[in-house]
Amino acid sequence: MSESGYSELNVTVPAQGPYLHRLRQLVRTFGLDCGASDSRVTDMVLAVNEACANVVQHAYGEGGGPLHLRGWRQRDGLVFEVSDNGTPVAKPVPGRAGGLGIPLIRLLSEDVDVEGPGQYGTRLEMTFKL
Amino acid sequence: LGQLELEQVDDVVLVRLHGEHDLSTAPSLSERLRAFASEGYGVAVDVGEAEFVDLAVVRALIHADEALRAQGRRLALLFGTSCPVKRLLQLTGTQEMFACAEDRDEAIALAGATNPARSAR
Repeated sequence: MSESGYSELNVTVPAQGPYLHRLRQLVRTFGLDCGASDSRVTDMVLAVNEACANVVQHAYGEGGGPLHLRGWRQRDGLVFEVSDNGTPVAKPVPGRAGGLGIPLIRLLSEDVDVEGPGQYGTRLEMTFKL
Repeated sequence: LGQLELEQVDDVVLVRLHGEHDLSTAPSLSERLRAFASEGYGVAVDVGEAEFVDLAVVRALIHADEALRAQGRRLALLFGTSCPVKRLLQLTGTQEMFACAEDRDEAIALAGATNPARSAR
């Protein structure tokens, strides 16, 4: 796991559930360092967590693979990008609360951009105004 | 990370969530809640002390509620005063799925109630 300091967040971890806690800590610290309010940081943590949870659940098969998280400042906001190198398998979680992750991210952030799943995996970028 | 505190009141188990609960802890939570349901207990879950809960946990609660409904019961949910879990449920429109209680006694009463039409007793 590598991370750079104040101006940018850039980490790669195995796409496994136990790493989510550490990723949430990094998002929280980065958001607060960039001057975001407590409630805004709470939104960021929840949204990034769901994006990362999607990668953990859907990006890879048995062999697993990497989860990339980047964060940076952009004008009056913060951008987070969650990406993977997984294969295109879009299988929604069964049950009444399945498929709520992306709509939740849309509610919590100002802008969401999804690329893939495709040949080079999936990339989800979300922007939060400060 | 996340811890569970269990308290038994008659035939109801009150499960208090402490700390952070997510995709990595949701399966064991789900398993325990459904085990209580299949053993005939009512289940109340207090999320008021939880610092973080994600959608995987909401799904675990929904699945536990489904198991309890099969026994003629409902999962009772207890929130704190400024509870991040309540906001998550409101944002995702899943709050209406649960029997929500105002305090501990109401949560235990809701969890203990059985539907006479479907109860085996």
